[in-house]
Amino acid sequence: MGVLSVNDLKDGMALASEVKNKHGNILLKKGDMLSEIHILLLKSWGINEAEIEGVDWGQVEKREMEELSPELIASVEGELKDLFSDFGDNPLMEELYRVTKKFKLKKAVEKTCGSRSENKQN
Amino acid sequence: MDPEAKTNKIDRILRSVDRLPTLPTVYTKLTQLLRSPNATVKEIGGIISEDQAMAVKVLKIVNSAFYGLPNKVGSLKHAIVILGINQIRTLVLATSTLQIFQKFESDHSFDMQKFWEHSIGCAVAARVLAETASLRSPDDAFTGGLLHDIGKLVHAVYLSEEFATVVADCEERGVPMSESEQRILGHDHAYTGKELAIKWSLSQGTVDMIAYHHIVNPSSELPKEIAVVHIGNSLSIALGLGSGGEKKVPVANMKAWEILGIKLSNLESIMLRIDKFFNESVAILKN
Repeated sequence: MGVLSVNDLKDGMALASEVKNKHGNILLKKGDMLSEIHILLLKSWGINEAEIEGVDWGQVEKREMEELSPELIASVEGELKDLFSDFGDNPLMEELYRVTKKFKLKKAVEKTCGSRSENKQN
Repeated sequence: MDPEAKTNKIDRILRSVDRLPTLPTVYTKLTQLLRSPNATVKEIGGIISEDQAMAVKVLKIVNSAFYGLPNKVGSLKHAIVILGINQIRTLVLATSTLQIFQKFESDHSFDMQKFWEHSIGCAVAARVLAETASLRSPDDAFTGGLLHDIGKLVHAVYLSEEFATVVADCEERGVPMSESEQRILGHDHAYTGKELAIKWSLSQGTVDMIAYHHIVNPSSELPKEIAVVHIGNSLSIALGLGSGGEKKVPVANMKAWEILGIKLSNLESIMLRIDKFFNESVAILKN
């Protein structure tokens, strides 16, 4: 179980908790299986995240990383090393580092293999 | 040169009004008019329309995805009614600033085009953060972001030789530019920017966003507007939107983030929105 950004939601994932809008109205119920349409709707409703059964951040990232070549990862990590200085214990910077890495990998993949990236941005 | 003499030099430059970049007359006229409680929508629209390029740009911004308005706004009058006078004034200020940026060519070590893009990047980031944290005026945050590094522009134009040394020093040692500026010029761009903003009679909120965008030790009373510019700066640099000459992503302050009350799990979608709006903003504001 884990909270995922809408951008990482995939067809077939099951909701671990209901999705509510900011007024507290329930939009999707716990246990609902997500379809592409659901994901599009969540985005258009301005929902940023959803809690999903059996998935966590680490897993998603790991799966994505496994598809990439080690050379690509190494080159992006090198770039990040130049870009980020030592930020110590700072959860915001840790998250910024993680997201920046993800974006850079995504851009690098798009550059090398055209539109192969299946993780489309909205 | 001792530090005091250096600071005096920038103060002298800041005092010699005629050498400094000025805001276009449309902004000053508008500010004057808005002091009067009897200003009408027609009068306000009239002043902006005197500057056709400005009027077109303001309308383009109003019709951009930023505002997500259901119908196209075709006239300034309509825009003023929908967005309110203050928001329109903020847009005019933002557009005025960009006109100033564009006046200066990069004939030195400092890339003006990239600097301009960095300013827009930070403005967009501050705006998206302000929206997410439900601040009262996301447009003020946009302006603060746009102007946060304006001191660098003054340095690049009026102290070009010394500033070239600053840029090289910061590149070589990988330190924040403000550190190199302190060492070489005796003051940093936040100081110069603040002084210029005061000279331009900008609101206290905007002056503070410029002066304190590097906050190191925020108190719990830190205004949220300053927090969004501070964090927006780091986000835009991490995303590689333009460049203000900084080599590293400035370490964003965790306390400043907590003040905004945004969940960390939202950062990714925030960054996606910034990236998306950035491209649109650059396209709109460029010509």
